[in-house]
Amino acid sequence: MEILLATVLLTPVLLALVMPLLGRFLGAKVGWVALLAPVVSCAAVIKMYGLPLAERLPVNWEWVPSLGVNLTFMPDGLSLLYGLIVSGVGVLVVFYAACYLDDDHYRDHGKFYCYLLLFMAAMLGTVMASNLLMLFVCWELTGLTSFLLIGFLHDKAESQRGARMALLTTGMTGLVLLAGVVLLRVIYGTYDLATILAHSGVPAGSETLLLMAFICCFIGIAGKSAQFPFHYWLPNAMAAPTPVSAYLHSATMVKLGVFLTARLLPVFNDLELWMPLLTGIGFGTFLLGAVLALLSQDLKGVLAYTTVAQLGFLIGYYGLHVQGVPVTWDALHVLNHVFYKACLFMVVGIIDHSTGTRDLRKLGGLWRKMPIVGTAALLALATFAGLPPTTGFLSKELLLADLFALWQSHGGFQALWPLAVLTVGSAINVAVAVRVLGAFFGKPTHAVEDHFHAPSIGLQLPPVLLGTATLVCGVFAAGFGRFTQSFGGSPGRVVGTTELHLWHGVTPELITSAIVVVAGLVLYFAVGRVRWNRAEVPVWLRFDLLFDKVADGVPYAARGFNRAMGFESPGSFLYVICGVMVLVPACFLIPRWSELTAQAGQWSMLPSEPEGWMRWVVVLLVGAAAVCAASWKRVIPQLFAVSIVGLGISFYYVLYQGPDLAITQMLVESATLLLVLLVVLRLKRDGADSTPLPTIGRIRGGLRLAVSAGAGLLLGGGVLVFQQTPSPELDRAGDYYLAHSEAYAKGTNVVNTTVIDYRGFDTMFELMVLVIASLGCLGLLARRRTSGLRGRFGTGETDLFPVPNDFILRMIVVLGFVPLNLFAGYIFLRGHNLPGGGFPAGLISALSLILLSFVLGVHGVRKVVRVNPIGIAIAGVFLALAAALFPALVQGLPILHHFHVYVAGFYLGGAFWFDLGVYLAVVGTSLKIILPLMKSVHGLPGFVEEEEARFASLHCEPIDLQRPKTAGGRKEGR
Amino acid sequence: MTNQLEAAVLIAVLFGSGIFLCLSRRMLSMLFGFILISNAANLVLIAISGDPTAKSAATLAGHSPDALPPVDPLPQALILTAIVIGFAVAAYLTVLIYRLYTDRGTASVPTLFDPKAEPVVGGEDKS
Repeated sequence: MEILLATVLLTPVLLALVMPLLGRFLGAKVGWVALLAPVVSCAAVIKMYGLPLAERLPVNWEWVPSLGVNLTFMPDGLSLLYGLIVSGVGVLVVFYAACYLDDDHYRDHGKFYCYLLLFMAAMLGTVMASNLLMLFVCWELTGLTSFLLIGFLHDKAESQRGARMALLTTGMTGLVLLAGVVLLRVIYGTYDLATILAHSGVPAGSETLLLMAFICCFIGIAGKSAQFPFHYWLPNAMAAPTPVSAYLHSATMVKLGVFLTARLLPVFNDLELWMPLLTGIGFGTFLLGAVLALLSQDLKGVLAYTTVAQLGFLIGYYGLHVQGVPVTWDALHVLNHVFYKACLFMVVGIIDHSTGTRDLRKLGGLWRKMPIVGTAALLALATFAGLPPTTGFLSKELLLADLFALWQSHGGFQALWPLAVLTVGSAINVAVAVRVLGAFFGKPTHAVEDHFHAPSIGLQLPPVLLGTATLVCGVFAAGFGRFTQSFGGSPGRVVGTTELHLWHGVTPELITSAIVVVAGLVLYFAVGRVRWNRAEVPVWLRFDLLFDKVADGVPYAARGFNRAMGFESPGSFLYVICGVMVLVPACFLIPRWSELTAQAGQWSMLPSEPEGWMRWVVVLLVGAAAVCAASWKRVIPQLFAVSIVGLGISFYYVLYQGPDLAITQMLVESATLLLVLLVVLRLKRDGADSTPLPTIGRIRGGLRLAVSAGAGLLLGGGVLVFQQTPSPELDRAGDYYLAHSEAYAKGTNVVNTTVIDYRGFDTMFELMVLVIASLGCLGLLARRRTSGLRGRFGTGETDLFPVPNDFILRMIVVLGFVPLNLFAGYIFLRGHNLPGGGFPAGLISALSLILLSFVLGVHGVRKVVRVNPIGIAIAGVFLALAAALFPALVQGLPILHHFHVYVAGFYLGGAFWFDLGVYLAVVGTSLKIILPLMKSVHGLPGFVEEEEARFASLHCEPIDLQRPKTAGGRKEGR
Repeated sequence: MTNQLEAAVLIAVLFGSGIFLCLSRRMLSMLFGFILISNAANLVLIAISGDPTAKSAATLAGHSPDALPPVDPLPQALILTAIVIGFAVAAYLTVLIYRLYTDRGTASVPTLFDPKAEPVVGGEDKS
């Protein structure tokens, strides 16, 4: 059993994988290789069918046992019936496709058969699966592969539209099905179908859940089987090549909904909604599909709508189940539809192939051209119309008999209206059949005469086989009936015992059938062919147009939403970000306001010692400077206010007992000031943005104030909360550092030993961040030359900010250079034990060089520092890295392990080298950021020439936010 | 229990002013806002590291047993790193603004993102 099942499922998958490769060599002939898969699968299914019932055991392969997802397969009657349909029709369709898809009109045959075989494997997996999740996965895989198949001719807009519609509709409804599956798991505690089906009746206490599960599953079913209101996707999926339509859209994929209805019937049929929902939607769709088929002009569209109708018929049939009409003959109904619909699709494919059109209005007289196809079509249409002696007649008679029986036993409206719908719908079907038959009779039209070329024998064979099947099975009704029953029962399916006969006397069913045929003919001839040709589907029934509007509307709506929220302009969007940042915590805090204030009342906020009041003084100064920075409009005062804030904070760090921080903060602040000043001066000189911006509205101004005030208050409040000493007191990592700094790191400045020893790993990466930032700056500057604004940014003849020719200033700076660097060395060396270290020392050195550049010019500095600053920075990083790796490489200790060396009482251990690396990296990166910027700001080209060869390609694009392609050209043109 | 209300006030003012500046339309103001916010972030770390009253710096040189207890060194080490990285980022932003200005001739957001406005090259028009 396992081997058989593996053969059924894996042959198409394995063969599909080699298809693309083979397709490259074989072209259209690859179809004959692909034929192997359905033939093998079909043989295996027949073998399974031949096994006695006792030997058809479930197969269980473990997949995700922890989630209860196993590859469980249950080859019962229902699975085998559908397995036979999928693989059997698969044989015919692949055979047909191999003849249909020639090398002249189609490309990528390998891909086509790959998709087709994958689809077949997914279908077989769905029908055989006995695990609901497994079933769902395969179900969705059929949707995915059908998307690929519908969109196979992907350069046609029609294919794109159809494929999108099919995927979205079946995919979305598939997700609803998933919800249903999960609900079933919630109810029964398992995904295993056999266990779920073994339950009888509605489990107590979960009636509502079961109802929800039913509705969810039914939405999935309706989506897949194109039931109202999802019927729109099937006609549009007809953009697929005809073999695909014949396979997916008549015989297999759309039948999945019917299959699942049959599968889940025992689970849901005790629900009161079962009968009204299934019969209502099913028979309603039957009537709707019939009417739409009559109004369509495209042959494939007609067939698609009749398929929709027939699927409604089948689903409605299952809906009758509860009312004492046992589902006895579902296999017969399904097979009947498979026979004639696949046949008709293939016939339409042949017509399309031979005449180049599928438009009913342009076709006529085909009988004379291709009598064999005509015969097959005649048989299939007779089946469709339900004429004796075909299977269609049997199918319709059986359903009518069921409905009459229902009427007699229950009576009333619920039996009468399906009867009425069936009668009217069948009459319309007769009219549709006559319309389609019109393509074969009468005089050959111009389209037919001009384009006709005869179809090959191979192309005609599958439809003829199917057409013959309808006739043979109809004539030998008893045998056919026994065959449909021979698959054996499955849960919910009763095996019928009555013998079928083609002729069972003059019964109400027969009389109704006769009325139906006459009414259909009257309907067709009363209106007449000419007027039918003018018919079209009314706009209010074109759900596909509505779908397109929605599907196209979503991006538009999203765009509108984006615009409304200001996502497209960063300036406005920042308001949204900051606003959310404020509002979300506020929503949590405001309801607990009283609680918070009560808690805050217990805190003593004000300092008790004089040094605490000193902090208040600094805070007031810094706060005032910050408010000034925010409220002033002019850039240079703003810059100085920001600098005052920074310097004030360094005092604040002093008061917080952080001398290292204070030094570093002060130096960083100076460097930032210089850097920003360079840019500010250049902007002022060029008069950039000298025109005042339009004033912002009062609302926006208020919003800005509110958002920033709210953000400030939130953070301040948060700080107040976090300041409170937690109880019990935390075990601080810092205490460990304090206790062991002297012993392990041989240093007494614990902040410094923490940075370069205990937490050296952080610092190492921090240095890399520095180098990356400086390289980023370099990239921004080096590419400036290609921006097309060359003319105004200096050509090297003039320095926009000439070096001041002031002797005293120059002397002060030059004479100060050496002491400053000596001081830096002192700060560096003492850093291990006293406040100082690599960071501040590096910044002092860098600042001394920058000062030098202000009086000597950039070239003057480059005479002093002959190496490339980025080289210094990278050397620093490598030095730090080496100091970190040294213990690991030499002593076999973990990296960053301390090692201590004293040379003449002078500490030269790992920390020293690491700190030296920090020093070099800071010097290098600061210089590498400021000096090129200075050169560029001064309009000196030397930098560009120097760096361009090294870091930037000559042909890079400028940064351009709005017009990536055209802007450069436009600027050049000016 | 602690007496550091002033730290919370300072952080609130700095952060508020920083956000206010970041919501400005001029790039340089945004840069200033960024600098203020990064300072405020460093201050948060130190403000929640404990009350420094009656404590000494985390330097043990010449430390006698009866001296004041030192402050927690770890937050200070973190801030030290943060200050330098903040400098690197501020420097990058500065250069970015400069670069945008050289490409687009403007350093204010509305002109930069206005789809209708041509890139105005201020200096060229004046000269």
